[in-house]
Amino acid sequence: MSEVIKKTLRYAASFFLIVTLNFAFPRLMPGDPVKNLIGEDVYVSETVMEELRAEMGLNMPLYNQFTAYIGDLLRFDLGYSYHLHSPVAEVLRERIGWTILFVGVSVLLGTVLGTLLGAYSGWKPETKANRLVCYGFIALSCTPPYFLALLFLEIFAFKLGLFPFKGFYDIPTPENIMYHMFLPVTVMTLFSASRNFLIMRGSVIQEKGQLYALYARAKGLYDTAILFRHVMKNASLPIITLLALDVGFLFSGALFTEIVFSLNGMGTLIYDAIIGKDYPVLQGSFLVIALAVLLANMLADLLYAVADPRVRRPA
Amino acid sequence: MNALLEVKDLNVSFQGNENEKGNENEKESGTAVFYVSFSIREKETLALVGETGCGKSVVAHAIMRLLPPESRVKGTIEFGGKNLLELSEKEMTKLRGKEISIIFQNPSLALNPVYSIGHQLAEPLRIHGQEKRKGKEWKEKEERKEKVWREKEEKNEKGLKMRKNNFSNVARVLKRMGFSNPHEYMGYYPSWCSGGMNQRFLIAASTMLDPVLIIADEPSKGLDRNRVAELEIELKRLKEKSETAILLISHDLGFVRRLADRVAVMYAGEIVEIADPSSLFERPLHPYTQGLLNSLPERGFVPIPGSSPPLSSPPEGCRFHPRCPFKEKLCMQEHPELKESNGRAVRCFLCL
Repeated sequence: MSEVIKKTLRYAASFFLIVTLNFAFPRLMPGDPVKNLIGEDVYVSETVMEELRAEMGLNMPLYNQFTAYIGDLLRFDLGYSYHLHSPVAEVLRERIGWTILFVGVSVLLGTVLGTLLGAYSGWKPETKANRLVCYGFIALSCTPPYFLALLFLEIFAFKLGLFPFKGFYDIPTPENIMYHMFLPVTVMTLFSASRNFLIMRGSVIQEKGQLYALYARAKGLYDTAILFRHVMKNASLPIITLLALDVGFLFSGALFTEIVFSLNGMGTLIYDAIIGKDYPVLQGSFLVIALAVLLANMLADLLYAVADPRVRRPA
Repeated sequence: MNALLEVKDLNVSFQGNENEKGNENEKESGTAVFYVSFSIREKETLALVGETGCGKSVVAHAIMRLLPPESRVKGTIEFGGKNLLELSEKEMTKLRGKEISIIFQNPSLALNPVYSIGHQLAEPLRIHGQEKRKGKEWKEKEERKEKVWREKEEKNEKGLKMRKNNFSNVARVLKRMGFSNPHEYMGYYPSWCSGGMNQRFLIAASTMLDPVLIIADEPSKGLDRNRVAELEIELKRLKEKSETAILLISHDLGFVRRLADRVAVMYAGEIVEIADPSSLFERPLHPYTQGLLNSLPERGFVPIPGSSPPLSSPPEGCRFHPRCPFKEKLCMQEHPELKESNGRAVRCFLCL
């Protein structure tokens, strides 16, 4: 029980730290948000600027700004974006769905693909085909996803004309979504699969040398039955950790991929917000991403307890 | 009496470097087992003794065909009229766990950490369940049990009942092994149990299908006295009640003496002496056997001088000659054969 309390406290502390950093970072960025909002070529007097700052609460002392920020957070008010002329919470709600769809599908496919191929490759690492697959995945994992995205655009959209260049702005019918999402999802799936593949391959190579695997053979299991009935579950435990750690990484990978494919998700939102110094949107986005990572870690903790009896104790 | 298992001129060698952690016997490249021949009769317990690294475990793994791919196995291992070394991996798979079982020396590592005890104990039943129904060359005791199974199966052909059946069988076996509430333990995991408990679970899993031959690979290694006593009772029960033949591999001589019908002593990859326990322990012939017995605490704790040779480069002549107190010129030049006389065999020029 005390374990649970300890863990809850740790997560609460992480949460507070995230919120604090999220408050601090945009304010450390160079440039003046008010000037940016108005634009470089418009002249506004210093007094008007001051008025604008006061209206946005930017002239208050930092701790006042911080308490105000926390208060707003508790009301799920993430501020107002002057660039997009809309409350941030609403903007995020609109955009995050696409990113969750995009990243979710990719991670799901990538994990299944990477884990299965990795397991098989680790089971028989000496065969030519498996070696080739392994080299392929090493190359993929070293390639930045945005570069892969550009490559795919060049080949499949530009040269072959099979897929569209840009994201969808028209009617979101299922076929339309599939058509537009195919390339970005493929890129992210390959990226996610390559990471899972390498972990799983190493993990299976290690686990198959354990005594329980030999004992499974001694019990009369044949070849891959040992892999699927005994080695697989043990070997996929590190994948849970990888997934939790990777959520942040995948989001950032998705960010660039979204920009390359002009998808209307969090990636382009963050990109535009950085260019335009749109603090509220940035803060809101980072908060959401950080929370996603935190949640993923909590989920991994829970999953571990379910999957690995060594973490649990008898009731 | 019929020989159940007949091992003839078994040679096992390992090719070079690729041996990972694995078995202690596999570290050396070269020949680990050198022209080993022995037989086990039905219901007989044969003990294979010798110090660590002499190739005992390699023999056990060779019979089960569980050696790593870089090993080369020569000779014949006849079991029930078939040469095990000529069977395909698929055919071998059908024998493993059903007719020949092995009990590994490290029970806590041999059980899979992420599956429940019940799941792992029911596994042999699941794996060999389909073949069972064909049941042609099955011994009577199996058929008796099968009848009960079949009656239940006929009531409900589908898998669920089968599963339940498996689990109730597991529960029955566990109860027989002295677990008063087997259903609770079936939900446990190896990491929640002590080494002694895991040992019993492992034995239960290996004997679930009443194999005709059990290979116990150093089962008493690393167990404390009470556990060894428990293990002894368990193996005795297998011997007497289930009439299973046992190949007992051990370096615990007292344990071997109480259980074995015959004892084979191995040194540096060879069998140097085979005899029944009472004559072996009372009148050992081979100088190595004598040395082994003299190094027991109750016999004065006198160790054999020197250490066993590396398997990659065994000495010329008799392999024991560098450590032998009685050696003569002949011992250094020629390699002695295993010679038989009045029911015991010894590999020594000086002993007969």
